Amino acid sequence: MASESAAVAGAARQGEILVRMVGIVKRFPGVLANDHVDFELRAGEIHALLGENGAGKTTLMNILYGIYHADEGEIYVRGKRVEIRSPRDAMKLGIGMVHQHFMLVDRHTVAENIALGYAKSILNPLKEVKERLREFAEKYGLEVDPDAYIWQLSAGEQQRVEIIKALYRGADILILDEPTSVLTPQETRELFKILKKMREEGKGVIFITHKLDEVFQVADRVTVMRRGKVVGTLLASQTTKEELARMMVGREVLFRLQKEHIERGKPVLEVENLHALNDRGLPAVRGVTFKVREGEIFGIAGVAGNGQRELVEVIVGLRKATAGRVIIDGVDMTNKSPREIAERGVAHIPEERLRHGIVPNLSVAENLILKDYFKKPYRKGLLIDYSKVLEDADRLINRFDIITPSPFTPAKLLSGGNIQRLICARELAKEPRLIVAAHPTYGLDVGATEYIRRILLEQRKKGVAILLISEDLEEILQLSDRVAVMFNGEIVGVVRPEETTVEEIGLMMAGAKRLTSQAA
Amino acid sequence: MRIIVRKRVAPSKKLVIGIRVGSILLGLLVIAVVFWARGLNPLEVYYAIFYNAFVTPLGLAETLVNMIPLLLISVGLAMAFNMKFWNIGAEGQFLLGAMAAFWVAMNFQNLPKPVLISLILIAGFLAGAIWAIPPALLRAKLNVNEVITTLMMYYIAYYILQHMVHGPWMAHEEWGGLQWGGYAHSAIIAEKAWIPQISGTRICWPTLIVSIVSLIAVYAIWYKTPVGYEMRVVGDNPEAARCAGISYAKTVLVAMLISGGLAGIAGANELAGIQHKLLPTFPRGYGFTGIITAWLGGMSLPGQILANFFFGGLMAGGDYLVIIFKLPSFTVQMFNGALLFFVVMGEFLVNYRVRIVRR
Repeated sequence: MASESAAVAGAARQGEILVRMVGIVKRFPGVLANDHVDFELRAGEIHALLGENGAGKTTLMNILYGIYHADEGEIYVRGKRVEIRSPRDAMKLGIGMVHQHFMLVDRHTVAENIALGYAKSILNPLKEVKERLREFAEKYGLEVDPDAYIWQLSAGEQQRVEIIKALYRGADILILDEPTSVLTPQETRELFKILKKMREEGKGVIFITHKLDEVFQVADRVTVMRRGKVVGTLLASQTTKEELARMMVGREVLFRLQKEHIERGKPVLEVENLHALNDRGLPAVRGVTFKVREGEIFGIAGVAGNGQRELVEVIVGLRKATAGRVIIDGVDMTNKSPREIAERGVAHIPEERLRHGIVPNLSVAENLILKDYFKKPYRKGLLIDYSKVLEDADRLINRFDIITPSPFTPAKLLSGGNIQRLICARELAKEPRLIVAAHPTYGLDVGATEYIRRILLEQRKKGVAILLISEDLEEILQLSDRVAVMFNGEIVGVVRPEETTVEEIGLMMAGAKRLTSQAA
Repeated sequence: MRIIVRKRVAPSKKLVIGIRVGSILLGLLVIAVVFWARGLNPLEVYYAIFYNAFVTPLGLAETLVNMIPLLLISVGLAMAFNMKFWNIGAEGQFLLGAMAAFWVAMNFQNLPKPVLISLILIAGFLAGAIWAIPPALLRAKLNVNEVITTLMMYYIAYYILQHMVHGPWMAHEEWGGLQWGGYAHSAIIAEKAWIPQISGTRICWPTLIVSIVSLIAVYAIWYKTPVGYEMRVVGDNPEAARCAGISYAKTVLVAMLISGGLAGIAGANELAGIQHKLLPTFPRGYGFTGIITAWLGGMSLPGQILANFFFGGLMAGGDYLVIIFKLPSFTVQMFNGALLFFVVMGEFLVNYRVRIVRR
């Protein structure tokens, strides 16, 4: 229980080796996820675990946290050989993990979530929890209202609750899986402050990421993984972004993509005073107006949950607008069906690519015709012409570099990056007029990210209008010709990337700033 | 000792078949205990079942007789199940098909035989299909659970049958110048409306052909046509289907029309080919046994044929139990229930790997 491990935690000296993983091997069907991996964490350090998606970072940490069991290899915690067979075992050893997706009960309060299963007193556990919450707030700056309901909290606050949960169980080894992917720049800075305080307390923090900048902002050491292997462990102070990127990808990476000047043409997408509700029936899009022209990338930045998802869904026909208009190429397409809108030349790269973008058990070839199966050239009389389907599949697999054993392979067996390539191939092969790309590189590795961004720029050059929704500010600023910031269902400002700063956009994302004069 | 459960990413075909066969064997083993408890030698009982179902020519013929309706029901169900639409009410669609066939047989007796028989089968299809529409629409439009609606639709069909054979369709016979009623069964349909059988057996060859054609047609639809493509997409990822502009309502409706219609043909076959009249005990449980065979056979041609042959045999062999060992006629249903139970439990092992480790 918490008391024992807390006692152990107190004994941890700065620099003591908390975790040593030796020769870890983990096989999944057809994949060697961890190939003789060595990893080490010391007390009082923040250790970044860097790698592309699919490099095996999360697998390695899931092994340490007892979610997976290694096929080979040994784990030592504080010098003692251990078998970690479940998260419960991991907790007993003082290991806590904050997952990418939070594991909280929405309709319970913060205190109730923390008390769930860990509080020692049986009669009034909430009192005990609240007392200790105050302690954590003082010690680490982990401020959070114990009586607030989870659904009322921002992503940043929910993450704090997850961290507190781990500390509450007496964790002195904390694993964070891509913790910044849901945060604003300001919230990220807050998180880093908390982590640094934990470092001072002698705790060990493992920080999984694929964002290079974060390594330099917060980590002491960094272990780079590629294709299931460790490429190396370095001191963050003695390396460079370029070196890390090379280690991660295995080749040189271009950080600045060449963005040519393109003459903007006539408007393709016009959104006028659009209103829409979210799934709970509350206003989510509240009077949004903008235009996207030929050869233009129009970026929408914002923290998740500020109406971006609903806006996209209305544009592509998956959600009804309650007021306002969506005009595509001069034709009013408001509240038309997804198929009618797609047939007007609107490509959609959906936010949740697994849930909305592919049919997991159907083959790659069958996934490539998802939007065209009902018409020529794939339809032949009453049947689908599968020889034509395969012929085109081969062509698209080559053109978009989809790595797949064959066109018959079920789409679910592809990696995230290749699934995104598959979606791009399907959506872009038919020369769209407008691309609606929602978080197109979210969760993708550096190589795939670079590829997707290059494709978007290529399409821009061809005169396609692109609406880009992303939480990755770097991406938005790099690709967009204009950037709109959404907050609370409204566009609070439109800026040109060359005329703004990350700070300014961050403030707008947090709702602290509003621009009245908008960039044309 | 502890048990570790892990999801399987891609279970191999061999494993799936192995687990299913294993489940059936385990089910048979458990039922053996029941026979043993009744003082029978389970080996003797099983020998009798299998001998009389799969070895003697007469038994094989009866197996085929059972296989015709089972196959019709099972292919349609397999399609619905693969769309994750759990049609539990094939028995009700079967009964509607039978009643429609009866009505046609009684009212169009002056048509030439081939026309009349075709009309009977078409009427069976339509009635079964219509009976499947409300659950499909309720699910598509109001998200009402189809397990409940299809099952309830079965009960409605069952009580309509009871009402008809006790009421409007009850046979009246004339003896000694007086009208006699009170026997709870319908009149026997005219011989002209009887579906012809292969001589010496009860195998109705026209429906045998229809069932084989349906089997092939359903596979062609599923794998080769746009609407089949839509069904596969909807079954695998309804959200992606919506994004791609595929209508869930339309797709489910088409699948249920086919599934219900085939069950309806099975009912028409039972009426016009086998029993020739409606009785309170008309339903023989094909609609429920079909659930097991649909699950076991899946969307695979050999799978469907094998599963339905096996269960057709079990039903035929089960009939002998009643005669030879004087077991109650519900024994066959207990059989099916126990086997379904084990098959469904086996499905857990198909999807998850369970290991027991010593710490």
